[in-house]
Formats: sequence, C-alpha cells, structure tokens
Amino acid sequence: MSKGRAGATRWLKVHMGILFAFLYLPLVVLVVLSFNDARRSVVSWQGFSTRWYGEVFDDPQILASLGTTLVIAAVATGLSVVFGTLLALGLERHTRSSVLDSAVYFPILVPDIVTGIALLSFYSLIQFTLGTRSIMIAHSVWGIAFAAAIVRTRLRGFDRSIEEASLDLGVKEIGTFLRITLPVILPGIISAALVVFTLSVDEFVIAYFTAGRTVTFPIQVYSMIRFGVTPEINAVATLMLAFSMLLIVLALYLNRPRQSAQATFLEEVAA
Amino acid sequence: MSVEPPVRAAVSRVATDPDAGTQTHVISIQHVVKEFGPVRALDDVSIDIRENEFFALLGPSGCGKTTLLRCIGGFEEVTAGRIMLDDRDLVGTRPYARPVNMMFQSYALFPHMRVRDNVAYGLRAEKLPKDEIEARLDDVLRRVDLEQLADRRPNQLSGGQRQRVALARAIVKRPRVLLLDEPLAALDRKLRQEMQIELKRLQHEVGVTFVVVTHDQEEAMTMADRIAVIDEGRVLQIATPSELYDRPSGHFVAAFIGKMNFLAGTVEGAGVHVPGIGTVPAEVDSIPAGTEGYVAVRPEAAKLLRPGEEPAAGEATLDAVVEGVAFVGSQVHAYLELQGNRGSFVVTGPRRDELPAAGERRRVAWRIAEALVLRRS
Repeated sequence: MSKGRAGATRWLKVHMGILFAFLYLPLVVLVVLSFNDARRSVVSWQGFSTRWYGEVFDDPQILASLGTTLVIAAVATGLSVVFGTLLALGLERHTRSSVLDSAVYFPILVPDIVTGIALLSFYSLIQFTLGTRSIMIAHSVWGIAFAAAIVRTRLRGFDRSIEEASLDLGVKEIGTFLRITLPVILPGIISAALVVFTLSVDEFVIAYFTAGRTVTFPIQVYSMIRFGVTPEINAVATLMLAFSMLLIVLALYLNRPRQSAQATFLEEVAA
Repeated sequence: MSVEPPVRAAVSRVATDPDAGTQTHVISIQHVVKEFGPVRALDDVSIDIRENEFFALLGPSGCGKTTLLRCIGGFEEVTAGRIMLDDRDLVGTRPYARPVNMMFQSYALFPHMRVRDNVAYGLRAEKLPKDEIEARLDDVLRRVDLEQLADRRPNQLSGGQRQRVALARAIVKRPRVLLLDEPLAALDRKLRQEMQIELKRLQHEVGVTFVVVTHDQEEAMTMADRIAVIDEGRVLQIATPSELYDRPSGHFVAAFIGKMNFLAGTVEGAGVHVPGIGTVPAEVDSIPAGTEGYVAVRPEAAKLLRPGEEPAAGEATLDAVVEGVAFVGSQVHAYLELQGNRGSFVVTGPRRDELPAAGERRRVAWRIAEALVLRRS
C-alpha cells in the first residue's frame, strides 16, 4: 500500500517536472543563447559573452523604437490610471447596474486583432493621422479597463467611514479625497500603472494596426526577426523578460490584500 | 430605586419633561423625519439634549438610533424637521462645518497614518499654530493613555487601543457635542465594563456633552444621565435611568429595560381582568375600563409565600407552580408556571435556605402599589 503510494508520488513528481520543463525550457534556452558567443544563435555553445547586449545598445534603430515605445507606454499609463481610477470609483459607489459594470471589462476580453481592426477603421473614418498618438489612445482603450479592474479590487475592502471621519474632523471633500481616499487606494493605482505599462511596452497587434509609419519596439523586433533569429534578438527578448517580470512582481507585491503591505509601502515612500 | 414608586400609566408617546425650559439645551431635535425611499427610519422625533449631559439613544438594532446620530453629525440629511445646535439650525450644513464630532462604530481610523497623525488630523484641518497642536495632542494622548503608542499604526493596535485613538481624535477637537456610535460594541465584556466607567470619567474631565448610541440597556443605564428609548423610528420615552425603570411609559420600555413580568388582560375599575386567572388587583389610575393592557411586576418586587403563609395587607397574590430555580450571577431566579403557561413569571431572591422544589405549588405575592398597569398599544 505505502509502496504503491510512494510510486504514485514519484510519478506525480516526474509529471510535474515535465510540465514545468515544457513551460520554462524555452525561456531558459533563450536566456542561455543570449549569452552565447556565436554569430548564429542556433549553433552550439561557443562560450560566455555579453557582446550581444552591447550590440543591442549600439543599434540606433532598436534604441529609437525603444524610446517611442516608452513614451507611448508612459502616456497610455497616465491616461489609463487617471480615467481608470475615476471609473472604478464611480462604478463602486454610484452604479447599481451590473450590465454597465461588466461592460467596463469587456475591452480586456475583445481579441486584440478585433480591437486593432476596429480602431484602424475608426481612425480612418474620422481621418485621424496614424502615429504615436493613435497608438497611445489605442493602448488607453484596454488600459483604462485594466486599471479600473485593478483599482476596483482595492476599493472593495474600503471602509467609507474613514472618509466620513475626515469630513467630520473638518476637511472638505477634495481634501478628504487627496489625504484619505487616494493614499489608501494608492497601492492599487500603482499596481495598475505597472500592469498597464508592462502590457503597453510589449503590445504588438493593436500597435501594428494603428502605427502608421511609427515603429514601436515590438514592431522593430518583428521586422528584425524576418531576417532570422539573431543572438541580438535573444538579448533583446531576455531584457524584456527581466523587465516585465520585475514590474509584474512589483505590481503583485503592492496589491497584496493585506493592510500591512500598504503601510509598508507608504512608509517606504515617506522615507 | 425610588422609595415610593408611584404607579402611573403613562399615556403620552413622548414623556413630558418637567425640567424643560429651565436648562440650557445644546441640541434640540424638533419633529425630525427621515425617510429612505419608502422606509420611514425616523418618525417625528423630538429630543432636547442638555449642556454637559451624558445622553443615550437606546433601542434594538434597526430602530433608527444610528440614523438619528448621523443626522446630527451631518452624514444624513433629514427629510423634515429641524436640528438646532445652540439655536442655530444645522440642517443643510456639511459635516465639516458642524461643531460636533463623531466617534464611529468601526472607529474609522486612517490606516495609513500613525496614531499621532490620526489624532492631530482634525487640528491640522483647523490650521492651528504648530505648538498649540502639539500641546493639545500631548494632552489628549496622556488622557487616554496612548503616549507610548503614538508612533504605531492602527493595524498594530488592539481593539481597545483603537477605540481610545478614535475617542482621542474626536475629543481633541473640543466639540460642542461628541457623538458616539456604539462606542463599546466591539470590545470584550470585561473591557467594556471598564470603558463604561472610563467614558463617564472622561466626559466629566473634558466637560463635553456626549450623545451615545447603544442597543445595550445595561450600558445605557450605567453611563447615561438620561436615555431616549427608541423603537421603529419613534421616541417612546425620555427619562433618567431610574425613571425608566420605575415608570416605563409602556410595554416596550418596560420589557426592554430590565426584566418584567406581564399579565395581559382587560383593564377594569379595580385591576386587570386576566383570562384564566381572574381580576388581578392593581392601581389602574386614569386608564379607562375596557382598555387592553397589562399588569406589570418587576421580579424583585414579587416574592414567593411560604406554604401556609398569608399575604400582607395591600398585597396581590397568584397561584403558581414552581418550574425551577436558576442562579444568575449573585441572584437566584425562580421560574413559575401560571395557568399552564411555562416560564410566564419570574421572581428574584427567594432565600437560599428556602429554595422551592420544582413542581411545588406556591403563591406569589407583591405589593399592589409596586405593580404597574400599562396599555397594550
């Protein structure tokens, strides 16, 4: 009996090992090859080197596209966080309509390709010049929905009597919002910003449809890949991997449901 | 308890206050109505609250007492009526412009601020000079014994400590009236009893009028100078704790404050006719014959007669069967069955050496003058 169970346990471990290998092996290969000192990434290991990273930072096209992408991501994040937070507040406190409630999250679920086509048609209909600005607006479409969803989770546990207490102690509505409401939901807002920023930086489909002649970072990588996977691309991908993981982990950390996380965060900000 | 409890059948819904007009009222609530959609939460409520009084709004949950407190604080607008504070109508004034402060049931501490900043929040809003803020902050923290914890955050405090922060934060503003919404409800029993005394002491020290909302009649009776008993949005009686106990205005108040035995029947000239028992003698006072009503007897006003003992002059008696006895705290309660109705009568304080046995037939007796006659409605 116990032997059988031990066998089953071992079997489960093997099973789990295979699954994780399936999930993470490609990433491991990518990261390893980005440090391979060989001209073609497919060939065997030629020794450790960081030269590809150097070449990435020497390539003016990559740097320019990266700059464009960061500007787009920053603006889209700003728009998304401001409007998403206001939307979350309005929905949480003034809506009785569950239809309206779900309608807000719908843009997240719409396939990117549909959003891309829809925006492209819309832009040409109103004769909006395609370029950086059109991508910023396009990214804000789902960015606002994402930000609203994330801030909303923070608002759910919000005790509104602390706002009443602030009014009671002599602070008007705007002061109460700035000094009480905003600081308490700030971790949610920041985590929304991190998520939207990350998604915007690597978003390809919608950007491709609405870019016009603008080249964002993912579009640049896409055009490079058409000439084959170079070690330079592996380095770029590894950098992006590290960057998004950092932001997502930070976002998850900040939006932990515990109150102490919030306190710790604000302490850090204050310090 | 008064030496000579007069039997009185209070008829008026709002008990008239003999001292009205001779005292200064801080708050005068006049014919306040509050409706939430079709629900009438407050129905023609009128209460005068005096300077430096410890006033309690007492009633079961959902009776409207918290709504009334929130109307005074400015968190709900009244549908009709006036709330006067020092002869100024508060209706339409925002909470931050009212010279009253509230201690919330959830305490509503600001989670992102230290104790010190929570307490100083209201003073900073007044833009007082820094040294005055510091002085008042130190003073109030000392009063509520929070000096050691001033740099903690609310989530690092116990329930009792949070309660004191909430109290300090409201009191430091030196309001004309301090509103307290179930201030002790979240504390455990022992701490609650300590804090009842503590609140009373603090109120004396700072000389502020307190209006406390509570559903706990014991708490109200312990702390308050006067109590308004509220049920279904109406004020049933406003009186001191001893008046409420001795002269409840009706069945609800009599049942809500302390324990009371009720014998339901029809009022006659010399008592109340109780079906199955007969006429129970009582001082009917001004209640007309034929009215549905009760004879009400406090458990401690009644006693069990020893077998063969005759009642004294001026005492009413009933035949009963002893169901059992129970020790409740320091007291002994005997539960009696009247006419087959179990648990229908309770007597406190049979002597420990004369405890009746279950099933024993005994007579229960009380002085007619100590019983009340109450209307049913």
